[in-house]
Amino acid sequence: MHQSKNIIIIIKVKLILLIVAATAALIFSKGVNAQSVKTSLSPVVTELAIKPGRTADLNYKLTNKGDPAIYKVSIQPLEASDSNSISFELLNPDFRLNKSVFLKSAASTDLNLRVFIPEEIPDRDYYFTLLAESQPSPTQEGSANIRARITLKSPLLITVTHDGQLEIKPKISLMEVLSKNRFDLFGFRLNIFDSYQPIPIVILIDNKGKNLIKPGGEIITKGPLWQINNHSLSTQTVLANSQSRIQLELPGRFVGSYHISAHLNFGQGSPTVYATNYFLVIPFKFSLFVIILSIFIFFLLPKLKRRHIH
Amino acid sequence: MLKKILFFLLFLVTLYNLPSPNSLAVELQSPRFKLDLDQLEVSTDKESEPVAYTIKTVYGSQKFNQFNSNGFAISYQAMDKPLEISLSNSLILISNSNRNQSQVLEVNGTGSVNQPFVISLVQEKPLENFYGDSLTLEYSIGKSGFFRTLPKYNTNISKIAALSTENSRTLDLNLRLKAPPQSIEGTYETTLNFISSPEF
Repeated sequence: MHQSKNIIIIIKVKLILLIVAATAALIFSKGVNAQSVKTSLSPVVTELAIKPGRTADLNYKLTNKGDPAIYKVSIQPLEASDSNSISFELLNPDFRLNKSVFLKSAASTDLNLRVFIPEEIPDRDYYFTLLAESQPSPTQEGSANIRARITLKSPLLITVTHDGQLEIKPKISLMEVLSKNRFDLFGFRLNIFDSYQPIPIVILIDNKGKNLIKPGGEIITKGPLWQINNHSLSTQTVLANSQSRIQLELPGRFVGSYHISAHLNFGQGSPTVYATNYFLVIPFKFSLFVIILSIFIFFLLPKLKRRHIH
Repeated sequence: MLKKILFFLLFLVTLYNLPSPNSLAVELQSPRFKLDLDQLEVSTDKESEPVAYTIKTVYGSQKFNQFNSNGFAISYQAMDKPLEISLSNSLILISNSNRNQSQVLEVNGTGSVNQPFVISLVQEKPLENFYGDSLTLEYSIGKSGFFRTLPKYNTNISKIAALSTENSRTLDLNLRLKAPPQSIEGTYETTLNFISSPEF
């Protein structure tokens, strides 16, 4: 009898503890989230210069920093016509192109991509993208499911050349000063800025050659009283038969007429191409301040003085 | 006296404004001659002639030597700083209880400072159920409150963030149903693809 009482008390205590634990779990538990996705891929861009009939092995690193997920790696051409020009193969035993592979959390894999260049292939650039995409989460019944996937793209820029010669036709097709105050006067365009207003500039670089270019250079600003300022332009890649836009802001000036020129080169010993433009800086706000100050000094101050004397 | 000082100051300002330089395309100078040529050549109007460039011009001497000895030369950009993208949630559920509220998805992109990159968004297929009944999804970024229809079916990819000047950025993507129905009956499904790629 005494023993059975003890058992009942133990059961009651256990039940109370269970209820307390369940209540605490309900109160302090966070909302349940679906999987988070976090993936990285390197390198960001790969450039390969290769002779026809050769193979090259490229290295990529895919890392899953989120929850365990399924990934698929594939290669896509930038131009549909290049789809059968060059062939690719992943040398990893556990990873194949266009096949889904499970990656654990905090796991990374080195992808070894072999590139096969046919013997009979014309000398020019061929652009591809290595894609690593995650598989979206499975659907849940009875609601609207918005499933999210991520795709990382790493461009692979292949230059095929027999002897290392490249065909490059660079051109600055536009150099424009973007001013809100713009007037056409006798066929001459005036770009007007207020003092210390930043000067936005857009440069369009055309590449009509068969190979990519890497323009770099500087913008030279010449102003009143022989002021000269140089602003370096960082090198960026312009693909074959395409156009690239460089947009930058030059620091504002106080007053005067300014002449800007962009000087671009395309590598060691390459000729420089350049374009020019002009802008005018007028101190509108400062002039208004001077006018108001002058009115005060020349008209109001003498009147106040005279009143004070009288 | 005050007037004299003021006139003198105005005179100085006028002097500062007047001497704007001659805008010359090229200035050729030698110890004996100085040639000022106005608009000698402005390449905006003239296409340059093709020049015989080599691998050495674009990639440098080392890569050129590699190319000659191996038959190829590889150049990796930003190997140490990978392109990275993360989503706070890979599945968002809209049920009858939350159909009027917008759902927030946190998107973070990281990349290299030297290589501009973009995060784009596309809706791969419409939000529809088994019978083909569809719901329209809208999105807005941050606290703008301006909702737009999602770009659909790989025909129109919308650039949601351009990360050209910074190497990391986090965005709050708000998703909601356009004109939510009285009730969501059955299972609807769509896939959003967040694409991160370098920009050329």
